[in-house]
Amino acid sequence: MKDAERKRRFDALAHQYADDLFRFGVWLCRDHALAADLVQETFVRAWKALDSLKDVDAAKSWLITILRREYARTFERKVPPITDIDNVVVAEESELAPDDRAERDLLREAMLELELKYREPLILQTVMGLSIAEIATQMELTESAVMTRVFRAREKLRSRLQPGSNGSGNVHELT
Amino acid sequence: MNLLEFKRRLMTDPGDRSPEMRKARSQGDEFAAEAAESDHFEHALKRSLDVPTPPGLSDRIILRQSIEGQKRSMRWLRLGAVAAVLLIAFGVSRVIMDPSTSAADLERHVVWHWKQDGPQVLSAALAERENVDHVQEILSTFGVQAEPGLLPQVRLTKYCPTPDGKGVHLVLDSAVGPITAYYMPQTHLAASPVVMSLEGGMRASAMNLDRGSLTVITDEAVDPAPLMQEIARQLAIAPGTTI
Repeated sequence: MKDAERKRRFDALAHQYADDLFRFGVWLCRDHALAADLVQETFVRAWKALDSLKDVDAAKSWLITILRREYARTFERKVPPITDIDNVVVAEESELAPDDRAERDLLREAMLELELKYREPLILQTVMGLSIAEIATQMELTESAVMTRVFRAREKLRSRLQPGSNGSGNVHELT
Repeated sequence: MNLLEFKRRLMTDPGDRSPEMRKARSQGDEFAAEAAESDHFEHALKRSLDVPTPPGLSDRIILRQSIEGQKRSMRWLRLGAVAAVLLIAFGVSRVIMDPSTSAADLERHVVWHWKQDGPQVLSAALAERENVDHVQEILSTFGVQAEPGLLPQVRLTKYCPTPDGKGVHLVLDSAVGPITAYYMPQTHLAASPVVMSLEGGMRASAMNLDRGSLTVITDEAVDPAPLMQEIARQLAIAPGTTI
């Protein structure tokens, strides 16, 4: 691949996927600064391996794979043990009504508390828009296992929105 | 699809808009209520997860890559420059410090040497046979000794000049008659063996030994290789001598 073509492809990938990968990274490592570094490193590695990306349609999954590996390789051990919502979400101007804002903050807190095995497939589905089958491939799980995990993740989050909830959730097994 | 299955599918894949799920959404009030609750939750969930991204993130990624690329180019240029300098230095040092003697230098010397006294020494050697002790004495000066099998073949031994100092001029009996050999202890050839043509239909052939080199002069019709190999084998490095 010629340098100009390589750069054009890289720039297009960065413009198209950097923000979504950042959101995925934020909820993966639960740290704003770490997520920004993680995305930067993901693209550094993507540049080096760009010639191996044969199918442009597979670019999103390819980048997610790189990010997840980079996270497991380097970043996972850097995640601060105590998670503060301010480390995850920078202050933002919001036009939401007070009730909606409260609901949003409650869900964010619930997301932070969610175990990684539930949190990750849910982010891949909701933020990155992957299908159950694609998540199964990414996480090397069966589709059934992925469905169980996203089911439980939603159940836990929804239970937090119930009045008087203690956030423990009401977990049912999928059959 | 029953309500339980519908709820399960909303919880696992809320974006599923297959004909089956669309139909289920309009199956009755309970289904519609479940769908509405799911839609509300998914909307709230997306809103929660949609955190602000660092301004200009993609531009920074692209900029960093450009800078890294330039650094890499500069690094390669610098490495290339260093490699070129090292290569030149290596080449110069090879020219200055290489102790090996080129084929041309050796040929000049051997031609000159043979012309000086080669045929005369050869003729003179036919009249007498060298004392064995004298042979070993001269050879030992240069840290080598003749194997017992070689000593009876030596007709004459004397010191002689070499391109790099002093060596031994030998006349030996062989299967093809008397031959001349020059042992040059300080002369190491850059390439070995070397073949040189001499006056009078003679030929000189030189090869490196463990210590120095050996030049054998024979008639052009003779294959010098077996002779050289045999002499080389019988000129051993003296005990206690380092190469």
